[in-house]
Amino acid sequence: MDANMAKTVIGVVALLVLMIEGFQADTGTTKNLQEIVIGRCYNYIRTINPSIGRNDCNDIWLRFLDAFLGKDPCDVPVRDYDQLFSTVQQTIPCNKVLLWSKTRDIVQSYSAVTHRFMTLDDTFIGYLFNALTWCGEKSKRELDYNSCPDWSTCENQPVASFWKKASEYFAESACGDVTVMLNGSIYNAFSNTSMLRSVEVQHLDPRKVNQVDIMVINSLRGPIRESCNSGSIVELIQILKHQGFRWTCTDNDKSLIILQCVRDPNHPSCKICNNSMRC
Amino acid sequence: MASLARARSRFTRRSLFLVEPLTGCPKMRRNAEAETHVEKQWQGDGTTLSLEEIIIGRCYNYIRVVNPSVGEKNCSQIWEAFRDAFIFKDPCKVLPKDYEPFIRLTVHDVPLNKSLFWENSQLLVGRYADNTKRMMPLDGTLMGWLAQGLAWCGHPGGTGMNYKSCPTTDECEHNPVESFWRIASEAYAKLAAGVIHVMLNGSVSDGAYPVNGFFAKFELTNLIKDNILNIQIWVMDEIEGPDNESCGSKTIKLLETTLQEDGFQYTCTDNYKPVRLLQCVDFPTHHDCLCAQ
Repeated sequence: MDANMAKTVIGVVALLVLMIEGFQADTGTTKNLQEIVIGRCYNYIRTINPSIGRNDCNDIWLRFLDAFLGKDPCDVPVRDYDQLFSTVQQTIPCNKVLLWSKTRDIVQSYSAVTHRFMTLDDTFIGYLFNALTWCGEKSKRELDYNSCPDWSTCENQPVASFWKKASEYFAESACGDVTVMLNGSIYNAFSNTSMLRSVEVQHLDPRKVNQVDIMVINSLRGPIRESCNSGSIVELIQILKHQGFRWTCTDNDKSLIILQCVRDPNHPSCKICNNSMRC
Repeated sequence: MASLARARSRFTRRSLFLVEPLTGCPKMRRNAEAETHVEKQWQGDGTTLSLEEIIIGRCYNYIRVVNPSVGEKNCSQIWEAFRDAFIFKDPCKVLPKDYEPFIRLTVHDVPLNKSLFWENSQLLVGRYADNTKRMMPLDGTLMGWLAQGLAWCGHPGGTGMNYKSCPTTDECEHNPVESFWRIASEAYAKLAAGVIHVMLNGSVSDGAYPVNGFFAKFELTNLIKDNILNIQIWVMDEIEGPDNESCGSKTIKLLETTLQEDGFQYTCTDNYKPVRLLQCVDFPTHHDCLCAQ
């Protein structure tokens, strides 16, 4: 093989690699999005929560499409989802709302194990769209299955705007006692860029919310970086005070330690009492 | 919800004897129904509404989001195979083999060491399995995922589906839901490989290991011995529940003996710790849970 041919081969290979990476770099709309969303809708209203009240699954799907179909996928502002959210009917029970930041794993596990709390993903609207991707194209009434822009590349991205709207809606619906879970094993647990700080806390309604209970969770194996008395969590407490909410804050809730023990049962914090063992 | 427990058919079923409904000659009944569209009144919940949308939606949700490793599946075809097993049929005449096309279309590998069998522990199994992340019980496979919590049956007239009621297994053995879970349990057992797990409830009073249960009749008997490394039995007492059975005694001893005779390696643990910890999440200060710090 002579030098020119080698260069051509390398060039073609490089191009192929770039093309493949290009396809994989941005995921497009989830395939079979319509069947999934409509199926989840019927699954929710018929089997998971039949007491939810009247909801029309086809209507919900159409309002959802109206929010972003035919638009530039960087030009879908939060308010374009207003119609969708006014179509979905669900009463969020008081004292169950759980807001969280940087504690996804433990919150998802906790929510799956006990029905003490309700996260956004447990609401009807959160359940419908959890873990899905979607976007359209300007002037085409079609979903774009090839690629959707990453959240970080444009502010009014369809999925990002949806979750901002959902977070607003969820916080506004909260009544009674609200719980907030934060990660005490990182710095900046209550971060400026988090949905919790930038959207949810701002939308809690003082006329409906009695009290905000903050729970700070540390990873079993540590470290302890922030707590009720230190770091950004203190800022959250100040904001709550300023907005007139009553609040409490606890470190190391037992249930959450036990939940982490399921994955790390031999950790010293995970000793179980049983008949043969005196504690 | 009654339909959830009944659909799984494990907790209500006692009699395995076929009971013929006393409705006269089938031919006459079909003509009568064709004229009046009257569906027979059974004791169980009728077909879940929007069954087709739910099953097709669950199917795509499973292959795109929950477990994409199973690869591409034709969910419309899967729905049709499921439906054709029972639509327009007498709901007492649906056999497990009627679901064979459905099983063929939905079957996929269960990862090594992730099989989890159970009796009287449905809720705890669901939590421990963690949406197939930790374990893959039958409800975590595509075939189980599609049908769990649903009710369905057909009848010869009208739309072919009976939305008002469906027979329980006490009313007739070969009903669509019972037959489905029998063949699904059999298929699931044949897929088990590596270390397999069995969760039993040590607090029940009528046998932690029921000899007429699904595990004994349709799963244990269909394990492929060469694929099984060993069997881990976990006998879980309920927190605040009685300690009625444990490893080495009563029906558990019967299971252990059966496994020995069949040539399986096995271990048995009372209140297996990771699962115990999961039970304790709801009872953090209980004396059966964490040592007081």
